[in-house]
Amino acid sequence: MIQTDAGRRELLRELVLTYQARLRSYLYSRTGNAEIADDLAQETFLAVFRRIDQYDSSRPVWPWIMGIARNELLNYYRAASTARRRVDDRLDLLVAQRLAADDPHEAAVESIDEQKQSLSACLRRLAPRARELVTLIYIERMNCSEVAKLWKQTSGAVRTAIYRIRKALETCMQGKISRRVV
Amino acid sequence: MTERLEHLIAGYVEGALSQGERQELTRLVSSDPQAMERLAEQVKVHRTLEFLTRRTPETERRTAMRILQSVQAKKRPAGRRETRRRSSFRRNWTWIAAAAAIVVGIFLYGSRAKEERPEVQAPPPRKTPEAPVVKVVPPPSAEARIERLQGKAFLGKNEVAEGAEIAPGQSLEVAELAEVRLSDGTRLILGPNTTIASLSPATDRGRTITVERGRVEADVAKQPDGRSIVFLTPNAEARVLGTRLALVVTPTSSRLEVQEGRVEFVRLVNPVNLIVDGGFYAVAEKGVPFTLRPLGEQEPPADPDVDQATLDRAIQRASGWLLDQSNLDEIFETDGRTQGAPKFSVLELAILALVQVGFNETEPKLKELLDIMLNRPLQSTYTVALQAMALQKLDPIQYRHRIAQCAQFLVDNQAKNGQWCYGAPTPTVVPPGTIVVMRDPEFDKRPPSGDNSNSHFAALGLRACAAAGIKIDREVLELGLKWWIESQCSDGSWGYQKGDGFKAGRPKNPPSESKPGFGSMTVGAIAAMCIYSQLLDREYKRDPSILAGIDWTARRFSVTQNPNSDNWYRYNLFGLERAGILYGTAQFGSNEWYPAGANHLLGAQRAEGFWGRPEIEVRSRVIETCFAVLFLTRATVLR
Repeated sequence: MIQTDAGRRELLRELVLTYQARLRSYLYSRTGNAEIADDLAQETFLAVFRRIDQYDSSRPVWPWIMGIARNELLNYYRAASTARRRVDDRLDLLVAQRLAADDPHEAAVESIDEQKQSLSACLRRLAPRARELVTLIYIERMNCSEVAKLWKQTSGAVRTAIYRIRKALETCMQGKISRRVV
Repeated sequence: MTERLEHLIAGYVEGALSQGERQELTRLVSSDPQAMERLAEQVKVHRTLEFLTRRTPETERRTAMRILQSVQAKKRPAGRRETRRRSSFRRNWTWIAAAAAIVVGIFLYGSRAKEERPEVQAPPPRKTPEAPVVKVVPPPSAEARIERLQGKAFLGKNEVAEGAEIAPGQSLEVAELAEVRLSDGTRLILGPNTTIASLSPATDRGRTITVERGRVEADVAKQPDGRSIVFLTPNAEARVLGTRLALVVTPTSSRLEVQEGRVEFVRLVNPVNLIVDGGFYAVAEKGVPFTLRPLGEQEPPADPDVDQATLDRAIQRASGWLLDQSNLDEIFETDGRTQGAPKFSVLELAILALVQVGFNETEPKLKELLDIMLNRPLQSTYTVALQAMALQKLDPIQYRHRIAQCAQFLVDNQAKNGQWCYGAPTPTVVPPGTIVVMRDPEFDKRPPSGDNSNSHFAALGLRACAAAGIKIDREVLELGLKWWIESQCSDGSWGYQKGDGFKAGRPKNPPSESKPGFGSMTVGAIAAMCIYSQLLDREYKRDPSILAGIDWTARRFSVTQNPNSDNWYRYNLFGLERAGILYGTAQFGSNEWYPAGANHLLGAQRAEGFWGRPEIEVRSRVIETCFAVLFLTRATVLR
């Protein structure tokens, strides 16, 4: 139990500095929008601050923050789904609903540094051409058509390639996370 | 079907599906839960990759501080949550973020700009699929609109009135005054006799406004990730992320005044970049020093300019002489410290100079030298750093793997105190495609210390690697910077080893009491500190160590000697170029380094094309000539 306002502020500061990047990573992976992810992260920490006296310091803090974040995310989805009713948004809504159904405790269990390390290790396991494609798309910010021109391939072939690379990376990174968790 | 599904999912992730394809994918995922799973998995991993590759630790720290400030400023009692809390919170957040931006001067530019997020309504940089957003902004019907007009204005040949909309590509001529609002909220005030030649449509990379003449004042809305507004004039370009500025354009001159924020200003004739911060201005005009001046300060008188045609001829003769030299690959310098491996070879320096002049693999001699270089193992700090610089300049994509290997060598060879010595081959295997280079903890050959000359080249090499898209271990950069800060002499200079300590505000020791530094090492240190600061996203324009180094250089400025040293004066010239460009100044004190150095070099070149006395060995002539070429061509380019 935190007794003083100064103590609350200090704890909040520590929580923000420690967990904000991980939290935003999770929220970005669910919303795909940096601005909204940042907004939701603020909302989450605001809620954390309001409930900070309820925090049981003998229990892990990350699941507690994630629980609050998930509520913020669900509130956001609810508001969004009533605000958008255009037919071509249906696919986005389906994706959003599916992502919201995820167990938040399965995601973003690693710190950003750990995630980056996992990514770096997994990238090293990819074939050279695959690594180049990841570099071109995620570092050089090229799209598949631009890469296709560069590589003299069809954009369909590049899309299929990046699809499979993402799948391989997902499997690899999940493997690393589960090993760490175990 | 599987391939079709993969194709559709990948297209969705990229934001590149047509309406028909979206409907097809909607049908597929609605009827098949496994397809939905695959789509969700791809979206998640795509967004995770995007997130992990777009943020720097410094951006993370800033965001953390903003969140903290916002939450602390918004400590409302529980139970008083407003119904429209998000919008009010967003306003509060925006205000705090804007205030924080002004306080800490966080406007970024160039590639680093990609890390910034849009302020309020801006769309993401790429067409990634988004979850539904509450606010839907209708697309603008035109690129811009004239909101206020005094006197006549013409869109193309047609006179227009207030309220007229400007389409992409249209020219706008204003007789007295016009206020134009762009679709992103940017406000332009066009002064008397101003002509906007064209306004490009907004794209994923931003937009270009071509100003032919007149005065343009701009209040530029903060630009979304990866986008910028570029003002293009006949002789300069100003790349803006979000700021208040004024641009005065004539056919031969462009004057940029920045009231707030930060703008990258590029002079197109004798290309050189300047970062113009709020409160400063710069002028791109023949004969006028291209340097920052505080707003309100008078422009300096025009200096004697360097004749471009003479320069071109001198560079051509020098590169011809270099290409005629045989056995460039066989000129080594070794000693016991490198166990027989070359501690320095002129091969990499010559390649860098030739590449800088504009040669590429189509020149047979350069191709031959390149093949030799690429087939050699990476053995010493000097050669590896120069190699990275040459390859980055030549083709950062094609040679990225080799550049990553150079980065690994430099990272693994950093001494424990942050310096570099001659170095040793690293056993770390760098697989093709590597984008992040971390120190290999297994590599145990790191010496306790090195020297400042190798350390200076290592900084240049790391910068080239970073410019080629290789992410460098932040610890290495921080340790490198720490060394330079701690090794300064009390009079503001740097020497080959650690000085007697500089502390801002402390009276300078009399020269007799201080361990003296010298010119080439001091400009090398300024360049290295600028490099690390830029890579670490750290403020450096007002850094006391750098300012003291610049002050020392200004007081002992020379283009014919290496101050406080008996040799290597052309190395000092090259150092002046690097320090001048990396810090963003055309002057050390009142000394214009480029015209002074260039005029001296033009007068000192031998008829055959080289620099140095004819009687000295070829090795020295090659080195002197390479440094002269690198100076004349201004080898250091920002970003």
